[in-house]
Amino acid sequence: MAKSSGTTITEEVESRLDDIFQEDDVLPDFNTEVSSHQGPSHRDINEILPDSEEDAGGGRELPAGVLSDEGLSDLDLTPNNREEPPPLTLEETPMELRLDSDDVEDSGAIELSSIFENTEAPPPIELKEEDVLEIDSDDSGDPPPIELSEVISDELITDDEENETVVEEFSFDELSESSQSSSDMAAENEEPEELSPLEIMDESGDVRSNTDYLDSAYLIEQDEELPQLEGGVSDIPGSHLEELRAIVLSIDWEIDEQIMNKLIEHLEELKGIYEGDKIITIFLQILGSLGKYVKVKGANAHPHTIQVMNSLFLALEKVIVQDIDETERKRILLKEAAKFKKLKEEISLRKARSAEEKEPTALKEVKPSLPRDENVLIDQNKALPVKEVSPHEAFAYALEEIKEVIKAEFRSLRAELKLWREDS
Amino acid sequence: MTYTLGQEQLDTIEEILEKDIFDLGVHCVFLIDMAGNIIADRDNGRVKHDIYSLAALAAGNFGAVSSMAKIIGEEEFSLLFHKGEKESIHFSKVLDDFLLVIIFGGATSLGFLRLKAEEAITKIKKVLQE
Amino acid sequence: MAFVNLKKKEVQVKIVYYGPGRGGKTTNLEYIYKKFNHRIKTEMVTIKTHGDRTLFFDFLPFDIGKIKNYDVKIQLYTVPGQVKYDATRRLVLRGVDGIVFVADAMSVMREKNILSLKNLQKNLASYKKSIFKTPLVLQYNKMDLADQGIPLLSVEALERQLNGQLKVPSRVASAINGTNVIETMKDIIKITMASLKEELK
Repeated sequence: MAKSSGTTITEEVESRLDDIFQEDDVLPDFNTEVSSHQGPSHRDINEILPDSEEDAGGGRELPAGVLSDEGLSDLDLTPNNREEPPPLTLEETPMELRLDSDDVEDSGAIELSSIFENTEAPPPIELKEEDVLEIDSDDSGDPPPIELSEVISDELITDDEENETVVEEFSFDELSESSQSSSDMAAENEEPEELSPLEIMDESGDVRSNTDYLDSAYLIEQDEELPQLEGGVSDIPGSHLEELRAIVLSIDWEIDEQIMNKLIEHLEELKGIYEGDKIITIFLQILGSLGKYVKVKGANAHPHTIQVMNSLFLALEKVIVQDIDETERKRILLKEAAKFKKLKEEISLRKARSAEEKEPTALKEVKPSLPRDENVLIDQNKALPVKEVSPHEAFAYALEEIKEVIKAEFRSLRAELKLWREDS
Repeated sequence: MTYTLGQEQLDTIEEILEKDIFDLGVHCVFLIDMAGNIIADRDNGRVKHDIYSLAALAAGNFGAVSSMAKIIGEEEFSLLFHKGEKESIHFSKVLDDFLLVIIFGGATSLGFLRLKAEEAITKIKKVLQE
Repeated sequence: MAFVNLKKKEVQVKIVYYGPGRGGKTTNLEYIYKKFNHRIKTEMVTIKTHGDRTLFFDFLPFDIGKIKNYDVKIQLYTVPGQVKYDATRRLVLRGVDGIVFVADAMSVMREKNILSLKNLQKNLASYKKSIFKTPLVLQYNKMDLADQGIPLLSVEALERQLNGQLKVPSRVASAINGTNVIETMKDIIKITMASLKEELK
């Protein structure tokens, strides 16, 4: 072997090591002679041997490269080892075990736990917008500010059958009339508990809102712990939630098609049971659409979906089990619906962004898969004609699309709430 | 256990870690070999874990758990996961010689993380087998 | 096999301190850590049982800077010396690049040293490695005990018993006092790095 190149490495290593490990104190010496081999650069026994003889100093004459009988009796490492002396088998050496009680070694090293405890405290977590919202931060299409607000739609996946679940339309005026005079509405704004997001909406169902408080509540929760599902509240005998709870817990551990199917089926059952309760029905619808979405998209689903789902489940549990008044129930629903809305926005933004990413390189490859993906989120009847649109158009279109769906569904929610009010 | 990974393979692996795992919002993800060497890693810049020690311990821990599995007659355990109050760790074996370690907080769903990890592992396997 | 990251230009080198129980493997690492942690700026990790015996391994990583343009990260490990921990010993040995065999120079430890070295050979073989081809340095530890009148094996005897066939570099040492601890470590790093020269081209 080229010894020269090895030597260079050795020299480099040596100087590095000398830089770091300089011992300033004089260490205690022994009476025994300290032998110090300078390790040869390349570990070839034939190279090492002469070195070790040179360095060994007096009294360390080694048998010259050949195995002496003496050596064999001490340690025979030849591969076809003859026989180990029976008393010295590795597994059961009594001497070794007896030594256990001795206390020779000392421990000065840091214990594992203390190392990890002592690491410096992580800097305070700062919310980064992109973490939470996944808003496209590049300036390409300056995506229109999300002002969908007042959005409740219970379907991420729509197909023709499911459209039939939409409840009769209801106009905003009727709702506000029935609840209070319009002069009270300004005051409503300052009292978010009182369904204000609904009631301050203008007729077009568009932008006006003060749901910001909902959004910001949601933003904070994004970085909080995933809602804990253990030890919940639904221990009431006869509660229909037990199985749903088990399913949601399972999903928290493992997501596969089987469990998602089970979830969707069970939600349908519950819809039957709670048919008369509009708030619960909406909860179940939203959960169902999230379930379908996860089932279809699998690993490509938005990472926050399960989080929203868990939160919805916990809220649903509260609404069903706890003895709370109707205003509070509505407030809970609206809060959860806002999370759902936010998720939908994130999903559409993400999709628009990924479409944008793909576009320059592989538009052709993307085409066949796009329609199917899009259908997951957008009403089939209005499905985006993907063929020749630019990413920006696609984005705008998707946004419009979602606005439409959302508006329609929000109308139905209001209708349901209205109906429910009349009932009670 | 001799292996060499080229620049291109490492690039691809890092991309997979970034896109498939890191985008989930996890705090730190790394691929190590069973000797405890780090092959690729990515963190969110906020957590500063000593990943070299983590890698050494993860490899040792994985080896220990595998031996436990064999003793009780299992080929291997499919879920290797330690849950903490704020941080949790998930391990997944990649081929025979590698380990994917993911550190994540309470905001990430384990079920979803497992789904994503499985997908990422399929991709990483392809790269490693090239 | 060290992992050479061609992309980051980084080499991770795994050095394992092997030897019989209570021979001073952990003490070697502790000395290095205590003496130089201000320079190496890393933490030592140890997994011990209640009785202060190494349960799994100790781990001390540090960087030594650039060699041939590669960032070299040295990782020192110890194995649990007790016979019953053979499985964990084998685990730690996985992917080893260089070994320091810490022999206990006390006369009563003669057999233990030999058994432990044989055990090393066997465990290396389980990874299809030969003890003759793996970078290896012997350390005859506890030489300081001579001052307390404890009977020690002579260096000649140790050489004959342990190094007769191996013929690798060896050093007498006192890990508790630090004598030759750093030298032993330097030896093994140099030999190991030299053995990696093909990979570092």
